[in-house]
Parts: sequence; C-alpha cells; structure tokens
Amino acid sequence: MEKLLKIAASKGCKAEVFSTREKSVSIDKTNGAVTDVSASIESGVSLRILKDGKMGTAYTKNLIDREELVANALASLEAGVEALYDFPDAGTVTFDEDYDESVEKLGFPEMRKTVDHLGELYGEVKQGILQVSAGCGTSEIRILNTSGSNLVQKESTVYSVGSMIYPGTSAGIRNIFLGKSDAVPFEADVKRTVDYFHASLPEVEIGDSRMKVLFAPESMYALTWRLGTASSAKAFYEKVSPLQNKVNEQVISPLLSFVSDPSEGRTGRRLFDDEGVKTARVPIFENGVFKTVYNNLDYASKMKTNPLGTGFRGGMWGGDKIAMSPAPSLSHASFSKGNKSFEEMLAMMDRGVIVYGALGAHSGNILNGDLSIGLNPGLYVENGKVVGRVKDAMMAGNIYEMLSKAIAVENAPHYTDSMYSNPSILLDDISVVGS
Amino acid sequence: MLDKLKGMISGTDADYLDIRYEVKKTTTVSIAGSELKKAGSNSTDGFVVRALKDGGFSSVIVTREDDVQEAVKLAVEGASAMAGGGKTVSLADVDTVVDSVDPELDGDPALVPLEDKITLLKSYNDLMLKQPDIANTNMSYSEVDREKFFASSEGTAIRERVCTVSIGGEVVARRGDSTQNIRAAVGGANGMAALKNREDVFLKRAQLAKELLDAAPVKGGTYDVVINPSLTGVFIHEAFGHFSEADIIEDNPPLREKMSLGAKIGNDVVTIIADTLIPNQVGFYKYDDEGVPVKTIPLMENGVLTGRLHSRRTAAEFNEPVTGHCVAQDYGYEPIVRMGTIYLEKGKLSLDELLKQLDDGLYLCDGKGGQTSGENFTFGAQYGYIVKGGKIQEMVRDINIMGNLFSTMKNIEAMDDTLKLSERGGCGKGQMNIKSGYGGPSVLIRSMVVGGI
Repeated sequence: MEKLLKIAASKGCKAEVFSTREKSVSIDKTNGAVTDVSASIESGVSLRILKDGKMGTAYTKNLIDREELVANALASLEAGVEALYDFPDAGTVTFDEDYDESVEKLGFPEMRKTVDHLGELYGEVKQGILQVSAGCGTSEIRILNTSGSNLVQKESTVYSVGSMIYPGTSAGIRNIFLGKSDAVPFEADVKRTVDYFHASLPEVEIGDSRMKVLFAPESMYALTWRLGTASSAKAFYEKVSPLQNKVNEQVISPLLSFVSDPSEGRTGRRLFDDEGVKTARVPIFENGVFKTVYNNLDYASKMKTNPLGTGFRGGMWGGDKIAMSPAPSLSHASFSKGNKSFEEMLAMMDRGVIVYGALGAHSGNILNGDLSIGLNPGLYVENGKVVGRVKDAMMAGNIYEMLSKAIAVENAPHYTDSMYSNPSILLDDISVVGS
Repeated sequence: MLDKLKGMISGTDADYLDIRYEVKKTTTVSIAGSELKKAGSNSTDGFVVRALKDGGFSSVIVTREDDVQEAVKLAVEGASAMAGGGKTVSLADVDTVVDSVDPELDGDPALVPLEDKITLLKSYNDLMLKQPDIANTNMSYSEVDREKFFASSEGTAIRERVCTVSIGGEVVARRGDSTQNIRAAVGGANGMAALKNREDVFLKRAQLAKELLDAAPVKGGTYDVVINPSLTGVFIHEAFGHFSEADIIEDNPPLREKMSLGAKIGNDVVTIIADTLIPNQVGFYKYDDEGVPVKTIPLMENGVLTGRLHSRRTAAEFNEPVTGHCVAQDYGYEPIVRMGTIYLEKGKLSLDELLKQLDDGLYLCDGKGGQTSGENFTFGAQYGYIVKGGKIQEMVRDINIMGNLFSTMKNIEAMDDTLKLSERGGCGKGQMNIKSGYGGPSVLIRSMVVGGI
C-alpha cells in the first residue's frame, strides 16, 4: 500500500489508499436440514487521487500491477470531476477493540454446532418454517493518505439468527444474536418470539381504517432511509430536500431523537469514517428538532463546513466498498431509546398493527418522505394482545406526519440485519388499507 | 485461463468440483445536476469454487489466485460439514460442453473512449435540466463487461463474454415544498447503439416529473387497474416470476404443492414465457454460471403451470429438466436460480379497448421496484391516472400495489396487443442481477389493493 501511495505521489498527486481484507463462513438450516454452506476470503484496494482541484479514482481486487492502477486513476482524473477538499491527517492509529483473534480460527464445525443448538432452542415448528443460521467473520480496513494518515480498523463478528416464517410466505419474526467473540442466544428472547409467532398465526382481514401502528426494529429502515436521504448534505447542496429550511425546527415528535454515533454498538464500532475523518456523535434529530445536515469530505467542502465523520462507502443495501466512492452516510445511525417496555407499548394498543416487515419500502418517493408499504408480516393487536397477522394490508403516509404522531418509544434497542440497533416506536392514527 | 482452471481442479477428492473465474470491467460516469461526480474504468477479478462431496454442497469465494487452493480445500470441508445434515444434494446430469462465446455488439463499448461516454450522458442530462420545474438529476452511464471462464471436474470448459450498457437514473422536479421524481433508462446487451438517439425518452421523462408536481396522491383502496407494459414487466417478475424459481419454493412444502406443474393457477388468458435467448435483449446469455446452456421455458400456458427455472441442484431435487438459470452477480457470488428475461404474452385488444373494458379504475404506469415474500408481493408505479367510463382522467402519484400470487393470477382479465421488453434489468434477490429483463403488454387486473398516502 505504501508503494502504491508513493507511485501516485510521484505523479504530483495527493493520494488516498483504502484497502480491505475480509474472511467469513456461514451455515444455514431450514426445518432441521442444512441448506447452505459458504465461505469467502476477499480483499481489495481503492485509490483516490487529487490534483489541481480534480479527483480521479481506480480500484482492483488483486493489487498486482500498481502502475496500472495509478494509470487508471489518472485517466479518471482527466474526466474533470471537481474536488475542493484535501485528505485529513489523522496520524497513525490502530483500532482493534472490536476484534477477537480467536474468531479467525472458527470455521464450519463451530458454526454447525451453533445452528444445531439454536434450532433446539426453538423446537419443532408445526406451522410455517424455522430457519436458523450462524456465521462469523473478520475484517480489516486500512486507510493511508499523503497527508499522513495511517489508520487500521479491525473487527470480528459472530452471529446467529433464528427466523420463524409464516405459512405461505417468506416473512416471519426472528431473533438476532451477535458479538465480537460469540453469539450466545438468550433463551427468554427466543421464547418470546415463539409465543408471538404462535399467537399471530391466524390471518385477519382488517379492511380500511386508521389505527395505532408499532414499527418494530426490523422495519425501522423504511423510516430511517427517508430521514437519511432528506438530511444528507447531497440533498441540501442540490436544494431538493424537504428539510431545506428547517434546521433547528421541530419536525417530528419530541419523543424522537435520531443520532449517528459510530463509537456506539456491540461490534463494528468505528473511530474513523471511510475517508479517515474522526467520527463523533452527530444528532440528526434531537427531541424531534432537526439539528444536523450530515456530510462527507466532498460535500463539506462544497458547503463550506466541517466534515462530520459520516463519509462511508457502500449503499443502502451494502455493496462493494472498494468499488463505491465515499458518500454522506447514516450507516451508523439509530433512534435513541425511550422509556416504555415493549409490553407496555403493546398495552397502549387498543387496536393496531405491529409492522415487523416492510414490503416495497424502496418504491415510494423516498426523498419526499412518502411511504407506502406492504405489512409483511403485520401482527394484528387487539386490546393489548397479539391475536393474528393482517392479510394483504398496506400502510401509507408521509413519514414526517407519521413521526409527529409518535406516542411511545421502547426502552431497549434490538439488533437487526443492519448491525445497528433501534427501539420499537409506537405511532397513533395511521392509515392502514386492508383486503 | 481455462487450462489453468482445469489444473486447479485436478487431484480433488470431491465428487464434483467447479471453478468460475471472472474478469469484470466496469465503466461508470455519474452526474448530479450539472456536476460530474464520477468517471472512470476499472477491472476486477475473482474465483468461485464449488464442491460436492458425500451429498454435501459448498461454495467458497476468493479474490486472489494464491488463495484458490485454500478455497478448494475449504469448499470440500464445507461440503463435508453439510453432509449428514438432513438434506442430500445431488446435481442433475448435463452434457459436457466446450465452447467460447462472444456477444454480437452494434458498437463495442470497450472501443469507445471515456470522453465520448461522458459527452453522451451529459447531452441527455442537459436536455432534462433545461425543462421547466426540473430541479435536479442523478444520472449515470453504466457499462459492465464480464469475461467468464468456467471449468468443472466433469470436463466442461466455457468462456463467455457478456456486456451490458445503460444510461439511467432519476429526474427530480420541484415547486415550493413539493418534490417529485421519475426514473429514466435506456440500454441493452447489444452495444452502444442502444444508447444513441434516445433524446425523446429523456424529454418525456422530464415532462412526466413536472406533471407529477400537479398530481394528487392516489387514495388507498381496492381498485380494478390497467397496468402498462413497463409495470406489467415488474408485476410478472415479482408476482409470478420469483415463484417459478425453484429455490424460492423448495423448502416451503405448502407453496411447493400449490406450484406443482400442471396446476391451474392463472386465468385462461395468461401465458408467461422465460426466454433469455431473445437477441439484443438485456437478459441475453448462452450459458449460465454452472456451464448449462439456457433454454426457453414456457412457465405458464393458458393459466396452467408448465415449467420452472432451475439450477442443477434444484433440477435434481425436483426431478425436472435443467434450464440453465443458475446465475451469479459476478465473481463475488455463488450462482443461484435467477430469471433471465420473463414476459407475459400479449392479447388482441387495443389499449383503448382495454381501458373501455376496465370502465372505472386506475391506469398505472412504469415500474418503481417491487418485492416478493412467499405468496405475497408488492410493486410501485411511478405515476398513474384515474379512469372513468374507460376514459383517462387526472394524474395520480405515490402508488404501491400489494397482492397475493394466487388470487391475482386469477384476476388477470385481458391484455392489449403490444408487447414491450425492458431495456434495463435489475433484481436484488440476495445479489444484484442487472441481466434480469422483463416485459409484457398492458394488462387489465381486477381487485388490486392500492396503498396511497
């Protein structure tokens, strides 16, 4: 990497080398049978160069010919992409508090034991499907730049997931357990999921009406995606954000705070973003007041403000970090916890639905905050009890209007696929359309 | 390279082993508004190793050639870890193939300078930005040129190049606090010709974005609808196509029973074809990522299930013929069962006659993504119109549709006589497939649940 940086610098460029190394293994079981076994060992190098206010990029999975990679970046530079920023000098730092070397030695036999144990905890599922999976992996990100940064961030992750899938669907409810060294399942959490699953098996036709809606952590991305798109410096710079003139205004319920804090979490914490900028707690919404337009180096320079450590590679659905350029990102943001237990929130629902899965969350007018999703599954609640799941139902609205109607926030966050945890949020008087 | 792959395979104690090596060359140019955001070309590569041993099956992905032997060892270990796990895997028999395939391109993108691609993208982008009320654009030129090498322990050795180009993105209209967007895309798998002289497409999209500013959100409820060919493509892909992928239903016994070949699940007018071999279409390829020649598969004829899409593993599991539909996004993924190009057969009515048959309802246009979950599906429309007495009235927006596969297939009543296929593909079933094409005619469907805002 140092040689690559030197070659780029010898062409009169400021340069940044972003490299990754990742290893992972995983095993899936469906209804007691092992259905998928896979592993990967991947690496990659991405080069970004700056010269005369312009930027060029190039990347490869196999760094064999450094001169060729630099030549590709120089060809990209010729296109004339404007870049008014410089790379930060963050010194030499290695952050490995979320890395456990013993995970390197875990493999298929250990993951097989984990899925077998998790399957036993759930027991036999007589209706629907039980899917359990376990996996582990290690990753290392290194950022070198000509300003002097030499940053290494290592992490390890072990996870296990149990999903109970409703008959005739591929949607269900589940538990995710994860940590940097192990993923010991909590039996009480598994029992609660099993109980809710059985209570929600009957299908209920609810018709069209307004009711209380509880967003579970698993469906929270449908809301945070829209908040993130509107509060990005990209949307502000392009003057298309619906929050354009609303900084320091009350936009959503005072019960809600939405904060990016990469230093928080059970694993995967980050001291620096993918551009080498030190991360910090960035409140996007604080008690419902819109506080911060988050950015990356590029948009910070365009808007003449400081970078906030929210420049990450990867899109909404992940993607190849090596191939993607850093962009303003809320990949480490979540809602702050509230003061109600899940059971207390459930008791507040005379009639309503728990949105456990959002079908089609990607197809509304995301920038505007419009949302129209299938409830899949949507657990139907009457008098504080889960009594079934809704059949062919959708909910729709504008998230700013919906989040103004928050009446309770759960007092504990839960992990989901995104690695970042959220509490459940209860909303009042939401339009639900059913068959 | 094929000889090198054969050497890597030799000496394995697996019952079956294959290695796919792929070089993926991409060129991307991105523009936001009038500002160039990204431009450049890159080449990446990697290997996917799969092993079958004692009824267990495993895959390992590596990016460095030095790691391939480790990957072979790990794949065999993984297969052994799966063996005895309650499910025995076998692969359907196929003929050994040795072949090399290049696409027929009308203007090979690899021979076109980067600056010409930037100029072409800018010309369409500038055209849209000049239109009234257009506040922004996010547009990209995307070129994905894959050279794939596949070798198996059975003796198959195939090299195939597939090349896909597109120009697409979104155009954003803004007036006051209202912001509306529309997607725009042209492209294909037959070279640069698919991208040239397409000004009319982008001009129309900018006009639609502007018109959406004056449209009201659709009122949620149950409607009879006519969907246009773009939306039909998304609908057929989401509502039916995924259920014709064998891996989606294989571990779901009730769904597998309902999807038995010979079952009548659609109305008499419904015929659906998977045809990846249509020349110049975005989904075109000759061999899948298991080295199996792709076949044209009638999936439903007059409402009766007649075929299913398979990998070698699922074909053996279902005891049905192989179809050549096991495809990976690229070298970073193991192949899984995917649709290539899927479409609904056209009917005999004109669009006016179809709308007259609809009488009162909604005319919905252009797909905005979709998702499926077991029997249930959802998909969005970019815009639509209220229809009264067979006549198109005011425009509506924020349209998402939800339904159930089995009830919806029986509610398809009629089609018009114009079949159109998508120019750009896209399906995110665990991994992205940009060669997932779809299409159909305009279709009349009764009783669809529409969620407005």
